[in-house]
Amino acid sequence: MRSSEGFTIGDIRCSILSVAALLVATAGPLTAQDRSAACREVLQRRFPDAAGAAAVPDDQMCFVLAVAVGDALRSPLFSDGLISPRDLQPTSGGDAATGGSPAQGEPVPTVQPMAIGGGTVAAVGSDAGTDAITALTINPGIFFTTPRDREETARLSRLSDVTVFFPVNELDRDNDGDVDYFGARVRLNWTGLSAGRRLMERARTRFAALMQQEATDAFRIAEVLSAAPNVAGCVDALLAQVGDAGTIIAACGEDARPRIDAGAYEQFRADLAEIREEIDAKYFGLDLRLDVGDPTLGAVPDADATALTGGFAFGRRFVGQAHATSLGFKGRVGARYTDLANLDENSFAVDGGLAFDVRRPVDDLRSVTLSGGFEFRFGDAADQMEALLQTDFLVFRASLSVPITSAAGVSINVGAPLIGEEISPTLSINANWALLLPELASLVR
Amino acid sequence: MFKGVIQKNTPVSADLSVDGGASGPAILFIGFGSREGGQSDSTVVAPGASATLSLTPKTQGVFRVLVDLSSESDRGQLGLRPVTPAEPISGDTTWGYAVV
Repeated sequence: MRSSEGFTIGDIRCSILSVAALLVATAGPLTAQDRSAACREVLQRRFPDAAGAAAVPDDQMCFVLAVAVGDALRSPLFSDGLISPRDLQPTSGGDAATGGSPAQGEPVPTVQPMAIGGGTVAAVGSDAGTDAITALTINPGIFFTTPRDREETARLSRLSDVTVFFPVNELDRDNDGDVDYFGARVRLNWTGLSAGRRLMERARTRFAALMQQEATDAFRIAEVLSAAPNVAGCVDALLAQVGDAGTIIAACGEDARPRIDAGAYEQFRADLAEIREEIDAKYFGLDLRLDVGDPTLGAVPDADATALTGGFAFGRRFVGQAHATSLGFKGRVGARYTDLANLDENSFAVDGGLAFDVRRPVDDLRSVTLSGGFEFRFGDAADQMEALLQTDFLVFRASLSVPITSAAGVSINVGAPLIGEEISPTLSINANWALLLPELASLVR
Repeated sequence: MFKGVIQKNTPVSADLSVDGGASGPAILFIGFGSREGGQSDSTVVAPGASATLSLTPKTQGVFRVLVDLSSESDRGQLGLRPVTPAEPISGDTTWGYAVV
């Protein structure tokens, strides 16, 4: 049919379709610009502190918003308390080194150092009566590192510490003007961070995989936002973590909910826990001791001596499951040279021990630890000199250590000689604290 | 927490300082993810010490900084050059960035 103006119905239809096609052709780019603008507006409203967002090109604005939305939903997964922070904290190396003194706090002392410093005040009962011994420990590594030297700082904080101890109730019992007894200990732990290296690699691999998942999801959400009928409503629904897919689809055009593998995040956090556990699960190092004066605190006359002890120490904790009760053992073997001060006598002896312990973490820094073991020293001293030289004995030692706070605890320690009647049994109650001088740490900055 | 935008091919460095009074070591992670894959680096930072990790994201993607402190009460300073100046942090912290 043809109209009076000469147009047919087909011509009109063709014109309408042409106009519609033109509108569709021009509406596409306009809609994309509108959605980019909407993404920019939502980002500014929802994440006003985002640095550098103003300079982002329009065509990448929805991607930036998608990353921000994904971050808001994923960040809690890194720190929500599926694993308690206190479970991450190793418990070893938390006490001053009093090994070999009447205030010895472990059946076989560790050589794992304190990170910065600490101390112990011990009430000691022995054949000499009651005494109080104070020990102070400092990690010299803090003086030899700089903030920029991160690996060295991490290594040195686990490498070595130095302890000095002395009785504090009667420093000069014989009134000769000299301190009757004092000692020094040096602990060197060669194991350092190497034990945790393998687990760190595993954690890095998992973290990289999580990052790829996060990026893949961000690209997917960005595509949804770039075509969403209601960008603001879509973001609102995503951030509100609406569980109903229908609500999401109505706002976003499709189901844009982030695909988060919660199990992967949980495994990543578990790896972090294992890293810290593993770092301190084993050690091997040197245990160096100097004792000057009367180590019997007056129980044996003429026992004044200078004694040097050097030995290897090792330990291993079997952490089947992070944060759970664990078993461990500690060993030590070395040589001791003793030179009596008032008599022309000296001796060499083999000195060592082996102990087992059960540990239950209950605090960021500390655990309840029950341990027991044997220490021995046998040498070339004549029978009548064994008490003076404090040698030729086998002692059973046991200890119970209980935390009070994250940086302090109390231990009860007993020593009962099985061989060597001249050796005094001991009972000590030690108050231990770590990070005694936190201001020392500022020296390395 | 979403902290902003990083331009691709820009070297970025995460700086972490852990307070000397912290209860134990911290672990610093940085990671970058794209469609093609992911990469990450990490280090252990002792109480009183500092560490820097660097990475250059070369394509569009997601960048993340993660600090795992020993205790939620531990404190430190974290920054990501050149985007985010150092600021105090307390407890575990994670920052996210879009790389464009």
